[in-house]
Amino acid sequence: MVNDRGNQLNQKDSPLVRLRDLSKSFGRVEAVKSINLDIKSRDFLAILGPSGCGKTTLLRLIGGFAEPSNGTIEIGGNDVTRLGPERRPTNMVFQGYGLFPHMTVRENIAYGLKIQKVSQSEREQRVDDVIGLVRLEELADRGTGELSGGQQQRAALARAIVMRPQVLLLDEPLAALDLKLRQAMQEELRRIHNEIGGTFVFVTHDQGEALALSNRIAVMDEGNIVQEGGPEDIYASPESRFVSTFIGEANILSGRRQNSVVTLAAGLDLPSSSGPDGAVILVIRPEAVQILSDNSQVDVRTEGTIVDKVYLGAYVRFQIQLSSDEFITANVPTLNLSKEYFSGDRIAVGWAGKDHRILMDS
Amino acid sequence: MRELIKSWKTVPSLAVLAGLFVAPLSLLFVVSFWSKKLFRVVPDFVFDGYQKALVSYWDVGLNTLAIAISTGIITTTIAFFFAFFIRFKAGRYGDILLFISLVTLFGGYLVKIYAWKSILGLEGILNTALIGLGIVSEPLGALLYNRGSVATALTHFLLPIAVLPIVASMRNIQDITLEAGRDLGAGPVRILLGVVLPQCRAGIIAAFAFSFLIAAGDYITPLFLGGTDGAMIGMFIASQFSIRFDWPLGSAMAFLTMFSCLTVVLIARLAIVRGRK
Repeated sequence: MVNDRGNQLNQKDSPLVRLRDLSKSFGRVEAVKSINLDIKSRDFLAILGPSGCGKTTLLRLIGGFAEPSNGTIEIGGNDVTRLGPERRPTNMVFQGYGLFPHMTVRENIAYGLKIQKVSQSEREQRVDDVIGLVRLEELADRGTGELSGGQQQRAALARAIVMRPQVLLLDEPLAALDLKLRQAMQEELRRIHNEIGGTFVFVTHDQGEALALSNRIAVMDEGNIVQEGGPEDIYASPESRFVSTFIGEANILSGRRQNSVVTLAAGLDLPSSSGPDGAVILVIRPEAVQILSDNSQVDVRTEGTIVDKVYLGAYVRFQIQLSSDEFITANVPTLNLSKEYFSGDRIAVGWAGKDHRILMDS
Repeated sequence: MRELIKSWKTVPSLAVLAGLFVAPLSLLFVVSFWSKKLFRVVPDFVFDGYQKALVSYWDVGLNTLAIAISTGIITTTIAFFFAFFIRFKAGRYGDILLFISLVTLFGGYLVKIYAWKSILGLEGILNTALIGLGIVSEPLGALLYNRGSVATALTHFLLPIAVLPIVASMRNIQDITLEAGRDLGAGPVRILLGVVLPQCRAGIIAAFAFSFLIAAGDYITPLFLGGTDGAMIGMFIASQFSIRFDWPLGSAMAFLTMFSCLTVVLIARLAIVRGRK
């Protein structure tokens, strides 16, 4: 996928942003609960979670728009916990853009540099550079009200980038755009991150966006970071039911572990790696589930009845009812189907043992 | 045809406007060129009224403008900060604050005048307090009956009227534009003047126009609080109509006042709109 960008390179660097025991309560509601997170230089980090999980609050804490109830924030080795946004080396791209309606695009972009008293010649140069970077040359002298959503998005991005922040914060940057524009802006963001090489932190509820854009993902749920890692790690090795179903699709089969043997409700015994006894779940991605002809060799094998079948072009999606009355979804590449199957057929399904994960059921 | 029917619907409102606004003004405008013979006003076309008005009342006119302009500026400035507080700082108490400030309008305006009289008078609250604290030994006479006392009372009365349009235009400001300003390094003053103010110019112009025009046309406040120093043109215009029966002079004074006031409002508008850069 995409995370070959500098992941190794950064391993030895000390983190640029260091969050320690960071929490934020609004009245009785704990929006962010004691978060520890390191963000390395040049990271493109996605904070991913469902709405209300505290991800925007976390971003606002990093930007200085909310004061933490507890904990510290360090950026570039300096404690910025008590500093306002005007004194932090961060800049934010707001979800509603927040462009100044009484200024042109160019004036919007130049605003921060004027405050920093950057000389006029340098200011003009830098403003022109970012206008070129976000491709707004034609619209630079228009009022912001005349721009479309995507153009406003790029203007807001330019206004933040021109400040050369140590950390660029993006709050649901693409949420307000339609699908086509969103895909185009994803590419723009990737390109811009490659070109200027800054550290980007963006908040999103869209797992596809997080996978496509970032080299690291922090998954949030109910105010906690529940898992953090590269997109492949998170997708391939989810550590909880929540993460496995929130990022990508997953089949969840219930079972129990006793003396290192997992027995599934679907009537299967799996020799498992060690772990405490108790209720467990087995997580398997739909694309890893195969429909087996009689002679195929797989690690896990069971039987079921096809209850639904949808042809989706590149693959066919089967809903299969197992003996436990649990359902399992299999996305089988159309090219791999040796014969035609119909609803009601009894079939054998299975998967490679390395493809499933067994987690404690919480 | 449809257009015609549509335009017919505006007839009632146009009739009200014509009957209550255009007709009396036109009448006054015509009368301002008439002449006064002993105790009779006769139709004529002379400029006696305007000449008399300029010669005898120019100083009161300028005094009026000075008081009204300073009242307008002070009122609008206080109203701007108050409106900012209501819109951006008071949270859910903002609406309550706005309501309370509007309720003071119902207190009546004579009440406010008398209140200021009893605050600023020789034996008023302020003088009593100053003497009690030993700051002065004798009551200060200069507190009352001057431009300052008139402007103070007018500001007190006009404040809610000026707050309203500014709050209304601030409601359209997105909160994140203020956050964006901070994010780009702007301090509180810069946010206020560079981000908030330019986005509520229309409200500020309306607030200044309201408070300035009402102040300039007032003839009760200066009567009670103005003395000779704080005399305003409205008092003299009123007396031309009520005591002296010199309608041509009164009308001429009224028109001169109206045009100077409109000029001030237009200049103020230009200044505020130009303030962009």
